[in-house]
Amino acid sequence: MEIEETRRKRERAKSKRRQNLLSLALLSPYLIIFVLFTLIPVVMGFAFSFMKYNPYNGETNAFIGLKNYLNIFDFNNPVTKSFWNSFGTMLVFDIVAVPCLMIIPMVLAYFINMHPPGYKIFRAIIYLPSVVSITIVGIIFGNMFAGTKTGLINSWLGTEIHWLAGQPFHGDTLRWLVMLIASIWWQTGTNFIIFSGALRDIPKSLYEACEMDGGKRRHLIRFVTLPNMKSAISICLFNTLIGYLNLYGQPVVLNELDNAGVLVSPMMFIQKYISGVAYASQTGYICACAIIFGLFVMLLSTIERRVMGERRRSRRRTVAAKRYLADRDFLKTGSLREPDFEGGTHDSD
Amino acid sequence: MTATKRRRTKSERTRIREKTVSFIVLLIITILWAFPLVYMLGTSFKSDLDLQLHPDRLFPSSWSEWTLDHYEGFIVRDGAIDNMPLWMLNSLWSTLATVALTVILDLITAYAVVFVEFKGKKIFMKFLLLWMAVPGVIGTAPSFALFATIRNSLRITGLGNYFYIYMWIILPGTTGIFNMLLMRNFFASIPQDIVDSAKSDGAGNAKIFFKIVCPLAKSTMMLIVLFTFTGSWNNLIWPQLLLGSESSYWNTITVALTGYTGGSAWSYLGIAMATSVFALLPIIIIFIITQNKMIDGLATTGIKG
Amino acid sequence: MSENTFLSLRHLEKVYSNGEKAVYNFDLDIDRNEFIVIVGPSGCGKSTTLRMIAGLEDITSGDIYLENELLNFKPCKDRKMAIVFQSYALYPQMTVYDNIAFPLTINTYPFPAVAGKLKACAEVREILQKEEASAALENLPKKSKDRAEAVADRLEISLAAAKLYLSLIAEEAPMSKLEALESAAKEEAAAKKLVYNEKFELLDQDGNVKMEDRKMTSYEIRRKVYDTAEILDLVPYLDKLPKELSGGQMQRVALGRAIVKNVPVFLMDEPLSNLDAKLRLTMRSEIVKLHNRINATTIYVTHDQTEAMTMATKIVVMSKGFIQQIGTPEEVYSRPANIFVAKFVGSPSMNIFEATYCRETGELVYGDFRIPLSEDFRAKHDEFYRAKAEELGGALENFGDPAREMIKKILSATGEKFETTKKVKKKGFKRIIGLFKRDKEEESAAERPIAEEMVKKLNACLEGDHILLAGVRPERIRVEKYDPSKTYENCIIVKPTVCELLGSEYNVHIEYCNKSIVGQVDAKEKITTKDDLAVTFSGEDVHLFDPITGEVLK
Repeated sequence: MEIEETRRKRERAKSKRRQNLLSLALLSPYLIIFVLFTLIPVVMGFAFSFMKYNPYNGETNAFIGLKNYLNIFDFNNPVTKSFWNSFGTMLVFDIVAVPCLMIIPMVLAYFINMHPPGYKIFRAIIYLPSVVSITIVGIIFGNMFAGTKTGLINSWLGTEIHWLAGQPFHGDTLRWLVMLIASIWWQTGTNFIIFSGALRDIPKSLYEACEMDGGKRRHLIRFVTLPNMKSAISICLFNTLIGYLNLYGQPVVLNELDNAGVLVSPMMFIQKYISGVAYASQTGYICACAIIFGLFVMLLSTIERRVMGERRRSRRRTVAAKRYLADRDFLKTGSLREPDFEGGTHDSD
Repeated sequence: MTATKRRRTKSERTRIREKTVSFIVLLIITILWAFPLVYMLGTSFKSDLDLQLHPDRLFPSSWSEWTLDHYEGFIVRDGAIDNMPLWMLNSLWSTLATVALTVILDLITAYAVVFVEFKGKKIFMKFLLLWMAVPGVIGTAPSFALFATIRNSLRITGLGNYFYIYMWIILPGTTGIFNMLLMRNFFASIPQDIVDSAKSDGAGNAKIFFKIVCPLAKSTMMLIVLFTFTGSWNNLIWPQLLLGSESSYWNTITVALTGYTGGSAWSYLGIAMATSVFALLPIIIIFIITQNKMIDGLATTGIKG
Repeated sequence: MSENTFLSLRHLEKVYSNGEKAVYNFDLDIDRNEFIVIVGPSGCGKSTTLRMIAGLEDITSGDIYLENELLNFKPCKDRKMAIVFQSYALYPQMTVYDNIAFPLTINTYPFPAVAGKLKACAEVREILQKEEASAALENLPKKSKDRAEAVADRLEISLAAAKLYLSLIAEEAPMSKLEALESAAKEEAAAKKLVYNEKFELLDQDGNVKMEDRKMTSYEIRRKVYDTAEILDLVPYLDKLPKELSGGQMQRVALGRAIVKNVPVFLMDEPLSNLDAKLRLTMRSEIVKLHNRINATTIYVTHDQTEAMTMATKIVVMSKGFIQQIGTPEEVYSRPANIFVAKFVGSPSMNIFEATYCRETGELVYGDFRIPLSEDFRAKHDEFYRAKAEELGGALENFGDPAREMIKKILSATGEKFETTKKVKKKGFKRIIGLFKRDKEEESAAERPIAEEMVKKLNACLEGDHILLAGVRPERIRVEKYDPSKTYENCIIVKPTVCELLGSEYNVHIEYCNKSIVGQVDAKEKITTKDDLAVTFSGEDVHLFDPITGEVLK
């Protein structure tokens, strides 16, 4: 009996060990690459942000505490200035672009869900730009909005507007407008497809129920369509928000000579200062900037999740109903039934 | 028969009206959306003279102005091999490597997570979910620093440097958590009964993986391939950072094309457009073949998140 | 149409836009408080009918009258009907309370216009004179808004009166204050030349009560929702979301949303088919109880004949778009109108076998069974076939849509599989050609040979022996253990193939003449597949059907 018991125990332990080994073997490639190329850089980023670090010259590396972070808020520093400038411009652009990239796809999805003839072709063409790379978007829109007479739009309008050549922070609205147009053209597709999928999956009986209840078209949209698209809206908003906080391609490819060096988004800022040997001694500082920026991204995405997430609900209706039911029979019984606020009859089903 | 004679009922009329309105709106939008691509295609066939004289035309102004001039220089230009095929090659091999590695890693990792019991599984999954909230931007700068430090200390040069750079381009993209979770969610949706019955038939893990799980996962694999392919082919920021100070032969097509953006590129308008058309071709071909699956897949995964 | 029918459905037909016809000539009168169950296999057009009544589906032809008012062109919200869907169709983002309250919050309802101040004063005056009123002031909630509501609930007065009462009792001389207020209100009313009755409802020049359309106040909505929630035992769940509820609870919320609208007609589209078997049983009786309690008229659609038999006051059996029989559960069960109804109603279903009718002897022969038929049967039989042959023959002469429909109806009853002419939606190039030429001949081709065949067969039945379909309910089949010492008459001795014990009784399956016959027998005695059984049935319990048209002969 006892021998049997120990044998079984040993066997169980053996099989457990085998499972653990197997899982380790299967997981290790993913884990190794993940740790080396994703985890370690982030951890190092935190470490560097407290250091004076130069990848090309290890001798000067030293721990300097919070100095990098203090530097970020020292507005006399020209690099700091350009960081916050880039931050501000990006934010202003996002405030306009993100709503556009939510509303336009939603309207288009609403129309496509009516399934007009040939809707699959429409859907494919509207989605198509999403697979085009940003450099090609830049080439196309850059030439369409070229600042001389040879630009397509200028030649149509017979003007010579320098669409993309506005001085930074002085009359560069046109450039941002072109960027907005290009962004809408480029990125409407993904959200549009997700929204149309969500719309398609709303059960028809809900619309019918709402109609039976006397709902008009606006009620249908307000009480059936939008609430049922909530998770899709939440996902799209999250992705779009993160994507546009990391704005990089559009300002890089849509510019003309005069603005080439202007940093209008934190990603551009990081890209510029990290590449090349000239700023190598600033690496620690740039890491600190990246962390500040990263924290901001995290903050916004957390807020987004909170807002779109479920709210906690009270038990006020149940309590009120019980009080009402107690009060209602007052005249019949001549006394107040003590309302039972806490417990309730629970169904077995 | 009666069906043809009868009057259209009210809801049918509304349905027809809805369809007409949506058709018109979508037609206009679709034309607007197709316009830039048509412009690109048309311009790439214009002769240099036509580009100067008729900038307002989408297509060459007359039949005689159609030309393939801008496409001809791609393979051999001025007696030497052009950059273009090299760029395409760089993009192609690095993208294919990324796609293949991603799919393989996702498959085996998701299999381990779903079908193998091991210690710390919950912690592993929780960690990945938490990590998704960490913005990738924090890692960009230190990654580059790490990349540069290692290269400097090992003194990697020449062709070794080329492969070293491409290793850094390819590998970080292969462990995307979203793709892995996509695969895991799919595996989790496979009925346990199928796996159990295979086990009772005496199939080991290898057999279950290759004979049952992988064939079932085809559509999810397809989706991951599509996401990774377009993502990697179109990746700009990270390759640009790594390749910025290297020989232009080493560029990927997406990075190389930045040379045609901005004001400096006007004189190459035709070539820029032709190059774009050429660079877009692989993506467009893949898109046309798979667009229905791609769009449907995106629509459903989007909802489930 | 009789004048006082409550809900009357006249020749409803439905043709979908792809040319498929789902409902043929649905004709039904429904009285107040009836519980109608439309039952039939899936795809028989029952849900389509219900949706036409609800206004969710357009009516191709035919009329619907509710209390002599034509409903056809009214939008569904104005039809005074509520529908409960199979999928419950609860708004997932709303709590149970909001779900039930929803129809009340978005609609306006007609209310009698009231001289509010005067009414409140009168109510308060009455209360001030009452002794027990002061008891109602005990244990009041803390919030002032809730206090007035609590007082209004307890004393059954309007909210305005409760507010006035609360403000008055704080004063020193409430009665005199009230009188001052009342006279002021009276003067005001006189200045506006308002006319009102003893309930303070405003009257117009003809002396009728004036009505005004308005939204319900939140107080009114709350009371209604709470009352409904109490009826359905939903009070503890009012703050929950639909996804937190079980199937049965969701079902009750869906019912609540229908009840709260206070409409005379309830429509239910397979409301129980998403529930598990046990819950279905309890909900079944719940729904019937509810129906009786709120005095509604219910039209209930199901594919489950047990539900139909247990709930209905009147059953409508449908198949392939045609009504097969309308009647009380007893009628449908004991006097099925055709072979389809006979097979469909009852569980286990009726045993049907092909027996030969001997014209000479007036007997029905099936294997060793010989069932004598009554004297007048032959006359009835001949009459039936003559009439049928004539009817079909007449239809053949002028073969059009009505005749085609007649054939389809017959086929829907016999349940025979057959390809009627379907209009295939042509695609691409063929569709364009199809627009120019229409082949009428081809369309009617499929039914015509069938009709001809039928007439031939019917005429043949008038002479000589032929097959009739005999049906016997399982519980009418007498099964007993074979006792060699006894003699049995008109009986077969077989061993059962399967014996299913259902608790109080056995379902005994026996194989006879290549036909499986099911009998029900009391479970007093133990029966196994090894026992010999004596099986018989009486001629009175046999239903006879014509195999060609499926209609009942006896």
